[in-house]
Amino acid sequence: MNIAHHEMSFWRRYIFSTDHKVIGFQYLITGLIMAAIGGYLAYVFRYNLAFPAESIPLFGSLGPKEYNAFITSHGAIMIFWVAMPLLLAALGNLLIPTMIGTDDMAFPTLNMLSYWFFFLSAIVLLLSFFVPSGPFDGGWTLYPPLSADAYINTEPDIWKSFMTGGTLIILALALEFVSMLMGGINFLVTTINKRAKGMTLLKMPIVVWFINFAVIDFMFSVGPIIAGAFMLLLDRVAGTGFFDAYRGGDPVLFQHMFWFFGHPEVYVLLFPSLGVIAEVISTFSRKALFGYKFIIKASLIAIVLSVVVWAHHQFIAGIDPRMATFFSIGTILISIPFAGIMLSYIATLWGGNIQLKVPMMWALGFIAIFLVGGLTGLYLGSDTFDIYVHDTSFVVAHFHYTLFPITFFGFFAAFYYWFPKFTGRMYNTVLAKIHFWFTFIFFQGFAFPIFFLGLDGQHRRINDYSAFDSLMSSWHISFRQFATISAIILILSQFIFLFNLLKSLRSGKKSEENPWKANTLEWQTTSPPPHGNFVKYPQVYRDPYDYGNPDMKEDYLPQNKVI
Amino acid sequence: MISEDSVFNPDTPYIQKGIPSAVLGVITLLFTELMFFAALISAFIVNRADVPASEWPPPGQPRLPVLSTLFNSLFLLVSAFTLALAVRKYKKDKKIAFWLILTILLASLFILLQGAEWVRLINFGMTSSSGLYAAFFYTIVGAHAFHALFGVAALIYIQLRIRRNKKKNLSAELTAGALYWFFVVGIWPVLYILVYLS
Ligand SMILES: [Cu+2]
Repeated sequence: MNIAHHEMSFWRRYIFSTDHKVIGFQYLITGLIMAAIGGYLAYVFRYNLAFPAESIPLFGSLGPKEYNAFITSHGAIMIFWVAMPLLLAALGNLLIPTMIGTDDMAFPTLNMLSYWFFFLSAIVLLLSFFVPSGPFDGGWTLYPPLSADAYINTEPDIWKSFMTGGTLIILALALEFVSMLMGGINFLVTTINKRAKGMTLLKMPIVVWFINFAVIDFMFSVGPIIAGAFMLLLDRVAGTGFFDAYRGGDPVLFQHMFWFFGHPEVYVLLFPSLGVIAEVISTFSRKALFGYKFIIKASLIAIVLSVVVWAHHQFIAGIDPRMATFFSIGTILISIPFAGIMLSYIATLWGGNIQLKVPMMWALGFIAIFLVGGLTGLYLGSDTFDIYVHDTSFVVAHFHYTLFPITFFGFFAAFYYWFPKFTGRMYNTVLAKIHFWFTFIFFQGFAFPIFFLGLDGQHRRINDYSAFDSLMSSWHISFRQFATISAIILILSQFIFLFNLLKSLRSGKKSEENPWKANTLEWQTTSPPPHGNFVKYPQVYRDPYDYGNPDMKEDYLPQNKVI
Repeated sequence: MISEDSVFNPDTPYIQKGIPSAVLGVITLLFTELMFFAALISAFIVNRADVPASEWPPPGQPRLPVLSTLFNSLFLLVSAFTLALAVRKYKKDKKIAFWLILTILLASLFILLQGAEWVRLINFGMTSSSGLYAAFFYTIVGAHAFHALFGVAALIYIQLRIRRNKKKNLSAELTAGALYWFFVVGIWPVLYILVYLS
């Protein structure tokens, strides 16, 4: 559409590109590389849990300090350097402009900066593996006093404290938040100002709504954690003592600042994923999404509630029991809108003309697994139960049952749905289905036994349970080994995905413009879309889910089609 | 500040009628900034509440320069008025160099005087590691100073752009920069009352 864009060097086109599709791919590739690193860390410490004191293949022996450093890095990487770039940044970049029928983001240069800030943050984080202290080992939640490091405090030496795992991870997080903030502003402004003619807010595809909900929740909650990270950084490098109880500071204050963001963060990841699932379910049920407006209203309620539930992570931190009750009620209330959204999805399936294509399998797998995560969340939301299982493997199993489907099932549903659109090629569906079944089965094999270990008192963040006789009966040991072997198969089966991805990119069958016969605008342009996305920019006449219209010859009706 | 509905032409991307992107972007940014300062302020209030009034400021620590900072603040407040005048005048004749440069000078004066206060306080032995009182002072006032520096840089950038593109309508950029500066000025009295007077 624009002649000036043709003569661009390799660097401008692929590295420092301002094109939203290239930036989306950059986020995607970086996220996948970080996922491989996070998965490798998981393999190492899971192996150590099942077979303590044994040498780990492809690694060696793992000491207690390294064990804690690895679980810390695994958690931080998977949430901030895998889920955030894949679900929010990559999907937002690829989908928003194409689905609302425009050429690019409102601020393309800011968009490029956003990616490079993110890249820098990943480098800073990985740097912590190479400093003398090793990566930070106090848990991904960065609680003081471990993270405020009293030894550095007494005699602040800026350079020395900068080159520690603790300072680097805080710095990396701060950079990542700034990056996502730049991306988020872009998403919101682009959605508001650059929608195609005729696309009113209520004619937007639900995934565009959901990515913007994620951005709103992120922008509302990220300020306090930036402030908290800033104060923690000053505690380490300038000796301020904000979170040092000995000097009058308050370590629990950091927990509040962290979880004020940390809980909404779950929804920042959940919303884009839920949006993808909605698109996929509607397309492959050949039926309108049930309760489009209801879903939007329920999400708005969830956003409001999401910022008043955070202290459910702090029930044993010594908070006032009356406050704990308030946060318990809030937490249980917030499950209502999400249960409503889940029911809308199931109602969409009801009576639909269901096509069990690959993306649909991931979407149904998402619902099946996420429901278990959501239901155990109800238990944990109640302070009386939470105090009993706090910091045990039960919590670990719960958040893997929520964050794994959110991150990977949501991402893979999106990947298999939009891969033909953005690469112009089709993948091998048999391999994709094998990939689904291995992931679905062995995820459960890994996470389900951990519920029972946790209920029996298995505390997390301990590298070797041999000192605890009550956790060393034969079933405890075999459950841990079963979980580990499942986790290893789960990780190995991702190579099926990698193989399929690389092979399809090189020699996959050419894809049609609209292989799924879907209504939204991105399917009404070439695969892959040209620079600028559309040769002729579309005008929108109807909502995105007009399937099975009896007056039409075909069972779908694109948003921009003139009748 | 509401832009017109663009005429539909399938060869170019359509732009919805509404607030211009630059202004909207700054509004969303300020929403996050507000939450950032709200967190710093609540952290301050929570910690301050635990300390008896006789120990805040702690014995042996210098008192904050309440009056001279109030005087500095006047420059900041006046800079908001001169900037508002610039925005109003831009709609009429675009000749706003005088008011914009005056704003930048006043803002820079505020930052410089604040910096001089910091040097004095550090010479009195009040450093970032000499207790929560000092730590909160430097963190909150420092965060504001950082925003002020960024705001001045933005205003200088806008002034240069206006000078270079005399014909182009840059009112969206100007409004965006002005909104950011109004935030910097608007949050200052709150911080001043909290940090200097409590
Ligand atoms: Cu939570």
